Amino acid sequence: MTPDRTPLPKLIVGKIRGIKLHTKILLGLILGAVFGPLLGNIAVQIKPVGDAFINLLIMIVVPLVMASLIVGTASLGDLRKLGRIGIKTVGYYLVATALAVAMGLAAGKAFKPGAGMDEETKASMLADYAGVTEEQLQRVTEKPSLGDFLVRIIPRNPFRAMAETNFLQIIFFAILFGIALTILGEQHRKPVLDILNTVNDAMIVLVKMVMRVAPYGVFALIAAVSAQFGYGVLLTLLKYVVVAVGTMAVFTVTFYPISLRLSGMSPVFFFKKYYEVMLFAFSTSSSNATLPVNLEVSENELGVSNQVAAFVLPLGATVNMNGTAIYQGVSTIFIAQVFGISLGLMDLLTVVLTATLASIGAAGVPGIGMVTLTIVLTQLGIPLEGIALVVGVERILDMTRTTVNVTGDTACAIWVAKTEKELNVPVSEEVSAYA
Amino acid sequence: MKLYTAVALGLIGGLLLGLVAAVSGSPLLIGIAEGIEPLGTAFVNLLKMVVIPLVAAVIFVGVGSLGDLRQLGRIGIITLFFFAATAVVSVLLGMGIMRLVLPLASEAAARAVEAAPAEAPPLPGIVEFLLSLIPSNPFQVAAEGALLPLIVFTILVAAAAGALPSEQRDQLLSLANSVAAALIKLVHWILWAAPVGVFALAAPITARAGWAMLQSLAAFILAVIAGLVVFIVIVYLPAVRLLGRMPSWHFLKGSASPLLIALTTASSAATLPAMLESAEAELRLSRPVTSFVIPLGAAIGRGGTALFQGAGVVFLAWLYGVPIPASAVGGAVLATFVVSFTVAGIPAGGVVSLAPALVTVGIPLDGLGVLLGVDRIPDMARTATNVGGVLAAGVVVDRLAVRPRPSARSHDSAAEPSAHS
Repeated sequence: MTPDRTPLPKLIVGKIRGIKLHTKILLGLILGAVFGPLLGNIAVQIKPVGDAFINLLIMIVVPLVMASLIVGTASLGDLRKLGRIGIKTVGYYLVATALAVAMGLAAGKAFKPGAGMDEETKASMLADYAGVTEEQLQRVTEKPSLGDFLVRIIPRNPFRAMAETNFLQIIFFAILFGIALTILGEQHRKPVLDILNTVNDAMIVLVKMVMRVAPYGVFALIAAVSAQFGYGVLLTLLKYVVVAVGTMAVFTVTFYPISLRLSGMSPVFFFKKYYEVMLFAFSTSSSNATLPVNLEVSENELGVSNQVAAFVLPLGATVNMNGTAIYQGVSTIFIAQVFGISLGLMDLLTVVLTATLASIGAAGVPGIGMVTLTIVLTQLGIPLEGIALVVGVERILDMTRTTVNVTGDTACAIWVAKTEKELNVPVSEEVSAYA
Repeated sequence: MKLYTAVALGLIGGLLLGLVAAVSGSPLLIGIAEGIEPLGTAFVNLLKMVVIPLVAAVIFVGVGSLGDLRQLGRIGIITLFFFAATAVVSVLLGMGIMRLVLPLASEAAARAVEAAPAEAPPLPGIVEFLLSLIPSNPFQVAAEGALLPLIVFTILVAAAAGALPSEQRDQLLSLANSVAAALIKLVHWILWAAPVGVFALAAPITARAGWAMLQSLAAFILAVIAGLVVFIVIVYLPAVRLLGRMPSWHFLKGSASPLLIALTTASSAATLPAMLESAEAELRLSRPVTSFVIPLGAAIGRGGTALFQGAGVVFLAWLYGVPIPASAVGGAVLATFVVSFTVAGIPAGGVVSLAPALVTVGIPLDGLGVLLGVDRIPDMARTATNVGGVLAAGVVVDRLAVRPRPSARSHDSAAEPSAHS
């Protein structure tokens, strides 16, 4: 028998098997978006498959971060280097967030998404989503202050921090514990590090296993979203959504490539390796669920050392939200325009400052995007009911901004790794990476 | 400057700042005293952060390397007996001293304090308490910070590990040993911040206390504090001296840091890391004691609380005009004594757990509200006494159960040659 006489079904299976994983995930996403509305109720019923997929990812994230951050800190050996990495990371996050807010504001000013919404639509939107907003406002009545930030990042009990997936607290404990290990002698360090290294490796194996089922998980998630999506609302808010998503896209193809170039990495190489993670972020719309995949790809494909990735990425997942920052800029302008409030230059600067500081100071508070938006709106004296105007398209914007948020974390990790000489792109890729 | 000197200075400085702020009523000073509170909370949280993993690791090492489970039993029995005996003395002493001080008390003032009648949360019965010692999920217990069930689980696992072939046992032990060593290093660093943390904790307490309120219950507070001092002097110090063969001065000096931290944090659990540190470095207790008696004591050692409760029963009986017949004293002592073991983890547990004793004597539960109003200061004093009792128990048990047997000692040091490095 000659090889080309393979029966057709087998050939198809072979072809499908031959497709690269990230292509399969992309296919899952596209097919999900197409079949979701067609399948309707069935699509909603397969949503548990998608939720199970997200849970699988989140299941891995706490032990993975704990193990890999302790190992990373302990193997760094040099405390000053740790300090430098910390300062650079926070500095980068601040700059990127401020730029993102500014860009969102500028886009809002330029394209006026909120101008010309008629009173009737406005009233009906405010009424439709009033209940939802109230619920969300209830959750954020507790204003996080910069003062108790210190208290909030110190875990009273590391096990509880782990049980609650509180990354800031986990990071705090893991770093201190890692430093303590560094200072103890080799014979004390080794037993702990051996175990944690093994845990880390095992978790990475788990990540790879979960990635195998990703195409199906992504399909289920996207199908459910697109089946349930309110297309009517989308049409009403089309201009707002287009401006918000467009600004995020522009930010992604301008700011990150510049940052990557400054880190000596080819943006094309980066996005080729990284778009898989972006697909995860988009379909799960959860930074935490994307974190295991992000760690795996950043370390193994992009060559960021474990020491840097294990610190920068979990921190970024709670602190650095470029997409959310853009969303805030655009939404603030949008709501202000609908309410006919005009914002001057000073107001805009206030927004940039408040949103940037709040993104760091309110870090670790659940539902942070909404919290910061409330803070900003209050600062400007814009009625908080305005949030009802944007709640309808929350889901799609959440997906988009998570994607941008996650990309921002990795861009920062690459830059920090580069400046700390911790960037080692796998040898076979070197040519394209530095091209 | 020694650490405890710095901590003591921090405490005195903080109390002074708060006092001056309260007396002068200057908004600036009160603002400062209350504004620095997050630093104090951060310090307490840092200490608490270490407790759960440290307890697990330390007990695991202690029990796992003991080899001989009978020694564990001996240590456990002596420890429990020490706490039980001192607790009974303590309740009686509290009642007696309160009796003596009663003539000083002003009823009208005490009545004025009575806050909204305290909602007494249901206390677990004996059976529920014993059942709650067995954790149905060790991770849940660890996440909730419940010390006793965690101790039970760790002892069981460590005993099982001790029964494994030496190769597997040594792997587990060296891991736990390293974890414990790293956490103790961490405690070292955290304690550097103690002077500042203690300062930041003490200042807001006095700034906020409200002079009038303190005065109104002055007789009660006085009796409790006097009772605690007397208790330490006539029970713990002689026990340390006669049973533990350690000079009182050496004991007090070695315990100074944990006592001061207990005084300001009013939390035995938060003081546990400092207790372990000074039991090992200052009092030089042996490993089985530091790793087993001290954590267990932090969970159940409540000599000071027992004294407070004895005084509380007598005070409230007087306030509500309920006579305490001699026969009821026995019942009250028993109720107080049993409950004082179970209060771990209940906020203001020392007051709330008075409920059974009050019921035994027939005092209205509203009385709890009176005591809760001023509980902060007695709470500080009784926590410090509890901690003193735990360390005293450590010294005594070290002498009675561990030191006379050189074989156990050498076994212990062979298992972990570098534990003190």
